[in-house]
Amino acid sequence: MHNLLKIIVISLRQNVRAFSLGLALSLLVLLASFALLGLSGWFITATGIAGLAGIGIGFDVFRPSAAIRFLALGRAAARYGERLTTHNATLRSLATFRVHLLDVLLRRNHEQTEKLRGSVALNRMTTDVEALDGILLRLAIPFLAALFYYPVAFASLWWLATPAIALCAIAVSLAGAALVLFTCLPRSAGPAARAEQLLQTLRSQALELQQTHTDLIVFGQLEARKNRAITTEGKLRARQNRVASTERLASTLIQLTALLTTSSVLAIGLKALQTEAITIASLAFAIFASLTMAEVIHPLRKTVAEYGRMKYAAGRMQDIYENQEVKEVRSADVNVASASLPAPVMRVRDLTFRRNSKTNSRPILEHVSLDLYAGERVALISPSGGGKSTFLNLAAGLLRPQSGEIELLGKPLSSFSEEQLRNTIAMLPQRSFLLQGTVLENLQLSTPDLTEAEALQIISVVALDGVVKRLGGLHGNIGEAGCNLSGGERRRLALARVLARNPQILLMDEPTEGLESELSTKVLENVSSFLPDAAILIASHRTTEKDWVNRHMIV
Amino acid sequence: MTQSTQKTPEKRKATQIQRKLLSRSAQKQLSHSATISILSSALWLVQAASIAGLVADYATGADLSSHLTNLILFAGAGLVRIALNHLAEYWAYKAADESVADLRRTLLEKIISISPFSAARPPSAQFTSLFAEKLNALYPYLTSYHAAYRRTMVMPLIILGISFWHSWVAGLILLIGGPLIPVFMALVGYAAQDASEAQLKEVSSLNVLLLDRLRALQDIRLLGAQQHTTEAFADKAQALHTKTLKVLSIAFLSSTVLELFAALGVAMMAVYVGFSLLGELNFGAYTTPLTIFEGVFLLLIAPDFFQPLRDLAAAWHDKATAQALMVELEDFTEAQTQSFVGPATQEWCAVRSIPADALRNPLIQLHGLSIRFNETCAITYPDTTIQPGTSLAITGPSGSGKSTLLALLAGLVPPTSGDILINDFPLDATNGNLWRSQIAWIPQFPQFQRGTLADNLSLGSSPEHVQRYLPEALQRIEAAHIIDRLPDGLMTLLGEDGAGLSGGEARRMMIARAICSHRPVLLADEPTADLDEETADLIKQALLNCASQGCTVIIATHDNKLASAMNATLSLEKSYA
Repeated sequence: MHNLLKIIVISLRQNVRAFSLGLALSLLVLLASFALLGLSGWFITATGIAGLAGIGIGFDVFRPSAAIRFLALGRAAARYGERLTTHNATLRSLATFRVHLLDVLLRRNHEQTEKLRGSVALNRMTTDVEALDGILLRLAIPFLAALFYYPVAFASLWWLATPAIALCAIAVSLAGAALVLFTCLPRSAGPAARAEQLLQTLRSQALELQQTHTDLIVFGQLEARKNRAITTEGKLRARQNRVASTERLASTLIQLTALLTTSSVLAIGLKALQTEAITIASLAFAIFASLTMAEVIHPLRKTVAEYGRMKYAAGRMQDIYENQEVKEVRSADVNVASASLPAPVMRVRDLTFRRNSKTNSRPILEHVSLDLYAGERVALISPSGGGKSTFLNLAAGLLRPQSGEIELLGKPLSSFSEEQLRNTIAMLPQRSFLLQGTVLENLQLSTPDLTEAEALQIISVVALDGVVKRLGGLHGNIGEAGCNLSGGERRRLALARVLARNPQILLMDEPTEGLESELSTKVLENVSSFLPDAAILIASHRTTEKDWVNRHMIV
Repeated sequence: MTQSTQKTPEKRKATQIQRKLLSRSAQKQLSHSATISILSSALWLVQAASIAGLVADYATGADLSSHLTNLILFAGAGLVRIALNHLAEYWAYKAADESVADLRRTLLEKIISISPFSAARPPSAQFTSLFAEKLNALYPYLTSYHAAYRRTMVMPLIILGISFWHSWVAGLILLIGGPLIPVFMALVGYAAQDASEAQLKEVSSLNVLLLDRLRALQDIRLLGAQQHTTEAFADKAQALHTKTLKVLSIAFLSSTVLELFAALGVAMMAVYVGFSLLGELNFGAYTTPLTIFEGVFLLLIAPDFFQPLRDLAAAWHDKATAQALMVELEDFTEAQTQSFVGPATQEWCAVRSIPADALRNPLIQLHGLSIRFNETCAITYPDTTIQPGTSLAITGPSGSGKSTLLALLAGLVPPTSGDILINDFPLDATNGNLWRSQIAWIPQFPQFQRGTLADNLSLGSSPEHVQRYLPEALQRIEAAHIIDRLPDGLMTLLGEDGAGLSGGEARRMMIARAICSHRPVLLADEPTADLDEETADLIKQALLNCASQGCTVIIATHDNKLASAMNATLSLEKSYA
């Protein structure tokens, strides 16, 4: 409940006005229904009595019937307004949640990003956020509206019928609501949360089954994986059935409550009629009005069905919200002067790094030092898994060393803010992903104010002129994850994206992987003439790359 | 007018599909549910009559026993209604539950039997969302829309009939108010359909954008593009908000209009009844003037004339979603896809036509083998014989069909003509699985299963095999220091693309997996591509080692050094037919 409350408070705060308006309108709808049916019942009975008594001419029919018309139209208008207001506010807060989640993910550190499975994160940002849409619409607002509704209904029944009828109607309705909450909610909350979790598992299993289909066929594991998915599906169904049966139970209890409310009003009313404590017309008001009291507790059905799912989703949101501080990248400020030669732009001293700092496993890097000067090109050389990529990740501030120091432009790396760091140093990682969209959009991701002329210049640096022409210019679409491009073309576009940053320090992890030697040489030459003053550090195993640099460093 | 003629085939198609998609028993359950729900609605007439009777009896001064009878009738009918509602919901849910479960299985069977190389294979994200969350959209449709639709067909007519029975004016009031509703709903429906399609498009484009950004998290950070990305996404999320609100406002508008019609109808009824009872209107009713019983009764049942229509409108969105879903399901299940060679089960014993050991020490022959991809592109392979225990390199420029030959050899895709003979048995559906149980496979792009490194290495190996061969396999690829470096060693959980391992390391793990499975044939696709020389050498040695132990090794490669280390080379040329 704790997490749910927090989310409710956050959403309410974002839209105080919209929700107060929605709440007021929603209360208005409930009260209008109550008054409308009650008044109609009273009106018909009273006219009937008047007709029988032969005093029809003297009966004022116009004011009650005008009130009935007003209430009927007013209720429809209020309901329309209420729905529009609350849905608008809810959608707005969901959009805010999504943007906020993406922002939090973008600020996570390197290791967490590496472990993140795209499908899991997508689940979180779509299904979890969707699960929250009922929090205000079907949980908070109906609950608050009921809080205001009951006193008003109680007072009007007391006044227009009898105190006994008022007490009885309200007591039965409240008791019914409490019964639903206390018997059904505990039965459905657990299975609903578990069902949500199982649905996400089923999703991941289906996705994996397709992604590793070939391996599964050849190694004869297809049936085992299919059965695993069917098992998950069976568990999911069992939970869903449990939630559904509890929902039906809740619905039955709600209907029983409504029946009991009206029946007891009838029974008490009949007694009151005999003692002439009430007129038949007033009793008709009470009976008809009590018929509408089910409307107030009706939302409980959806609460029973969705509470568990909302709670689960809210818990996962919370998990992201709360860990935000720890995961946020540093944002300290430091005044960075531009590089003043001839001091090295990057200075690494005695760097040691272990992937798992707790165990005493062999470090990936041990006591590594390096000075890198402006305009210089250095290649890191080591066998596969020798720590080249790790060194670049450390230099780019994606990882933190256990010991040793890295200085950029004469200042410790740790004193740079994220923004300053990225403005100083650019990196082409080993695996990089292009975004769906045009060539220009991909280049402008790194440099939003890049002009088309500048973009074309960079395109020719990475020798993609022909490809851009083939795609129909800078506005040609590269497809999902760049599927309209070959592997080598994707690599070069990723490089272009980095070059557009025009960095002082450029780190590249196997920049020409997947390119033929001739093309690699050409691209590398272009890079050095495009960024003559940049300090360039590459991780490399290819001869063409090793030949291009000024010196090698064995890691 | 043109719109309505366009809509008709679509609608009919969805209805037909529904009949095809839902099992006979599910349809029966749905029809039970609808019948019961109609009965329950009809019982309201009894309840209304008992309230009306109570008021009328009192006004005319009847005795206490008739009050009690009415009270008991009201409560009794109410209880029966509640029980019926429960039952109706139960049947509808059961139908939905069974249908969804059946459909999930059908989808699963279909997707696993499609050849990984079939062109008609749907994108994995699309299938996944169809299989998981989209199918759930059938629940609300089957549990609420269906019964509401049947009630709409019956209840208004019954209530209309009763109203006419008591008073032709009362009947007329409903008759005028009623038909306007479907007309208006149709108009709103068309507008809503367009808005709803636009919104669905926006949802899927938002998801594509998100998945894109989530994959590229690291790139975005390194490019310092966090703020830019968040802002662009915020715009997109805002657009979705606007579109969704548009759909909702149409839906709300339509239900408001319905409510107005209903309220207007009921109000007119109340006014007519009121004036009649007062004796100011003396026409319409057959027992002039209208009795109190008739007046109260008519007023109580009038809202139920409109109620089924309102229920139907409330479930309209569920129906639209479900119809779109059913068309998508139909498209997928009816799509002409190619399946791989052999059934998608492990039960090769049940279908095998040859002894279990007939494919050991395989002599592989390609006989007139060719495969056609489309009108313009086909590959014909030269007839070749591969002796058991020898090694073969398949070489040739890209596009010459090296990878395709490996896929043909593994039975992942059937040839268009010609045969692959294994010990003189042609490879076909009856022996495909048996043949694959002899093959180890090293893909060009390693994909890891969710789970630990150990789980991944033991894919397709029995626990005894793992115990016996895994240490040797790891030693062969010199994995000790790689595993040392991982946070939990062999028990480390891997990311989707093997995050935590470098490209070369991931490839080495695939080779360890193949060695561990200890199968007599090894197929490898470009095992040394994009690797540094040292790692490439290591992999070459590991493969040669397998060959020297009697394993048939077949490799598709660009790497001349690796190719020349094999016993023989099959050189392919780029050919278009």
